[in-house]
Amino acid sequence: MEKKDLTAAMTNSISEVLETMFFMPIDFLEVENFDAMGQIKETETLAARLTFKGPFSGYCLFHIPRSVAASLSADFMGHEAGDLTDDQISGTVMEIANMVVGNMFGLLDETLVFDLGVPELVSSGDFRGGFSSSERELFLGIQTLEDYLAFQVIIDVAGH
Amino acid sequence: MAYNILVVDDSLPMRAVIKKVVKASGFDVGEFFEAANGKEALDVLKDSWVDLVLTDYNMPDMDGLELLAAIKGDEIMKEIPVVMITTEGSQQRIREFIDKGAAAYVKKPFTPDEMKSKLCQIMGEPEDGEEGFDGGDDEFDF
Repeated sequence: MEKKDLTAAMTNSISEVLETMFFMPIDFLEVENFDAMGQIKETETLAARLTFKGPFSGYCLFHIPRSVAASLSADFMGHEAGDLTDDQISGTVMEIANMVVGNMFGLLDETLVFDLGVPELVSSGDFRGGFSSSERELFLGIQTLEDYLAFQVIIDVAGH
Repeated sequence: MAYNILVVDDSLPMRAVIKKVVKASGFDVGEFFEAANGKEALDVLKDSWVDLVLTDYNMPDMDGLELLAAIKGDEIMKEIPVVMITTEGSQQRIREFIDKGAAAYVKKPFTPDEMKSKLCQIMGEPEDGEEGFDGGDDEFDF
């Protein structure tokens, strides 16, 4: 697996999920880490982590400002943002991570089989430091109409 | 005919969205039941009349494939159509769903039209009925 292929699959998957299920127009930023997109640091940010195992293994992180997550959840579920519970908002964030990663592997190579873990909420700040732009780490910064989002893919065990 | 539908997904928002999409598709739904995993789904199936099961694959405790096997292995429940709603894109996994008895699969992310088409095929309903996506009372801003 080459990083450019993973990047292309991840980019396409994020676009498909956010535009198909959330009608959210997005632009990808030309940044390689959080330091280059300080805006997301200014807000309360939720993060979902999803592990995967297969021909290569690792995890994906999805960072999203809480206000954007609340807005997406409201649209997704057909409720007013003010009526949503924390569980509903975090559930939407975890579901986005689940859909993006699952869809990404299908786009990458539909002959490969990956087992996805169950998404979990984590502290966004715990995963921002020490990020590198190596072949095993992928960072995608995204601009929406409201704010900024980010996806990271970290490969622990490389494939053949 | 009104269909009773069991929606199985560990994601509360996804259960809500699936119900919204199915209602908006114009299906005559009698009652929705919900479960957060396969074990809860089997409890619902033992206690309630369900015509169609829509289930996620990746769930804690009992996943969608295990639920499918349990339903197809039960003399009373085995005729209930099961639709896998999943992010899985691998051909091998999709073959596994169908080989083990799934009536169909819907890949996330799905559009309302894709969902409607699959459900109509399974239940033998016309796809262009009088009630379409714009014909219901429910607001549909999905």
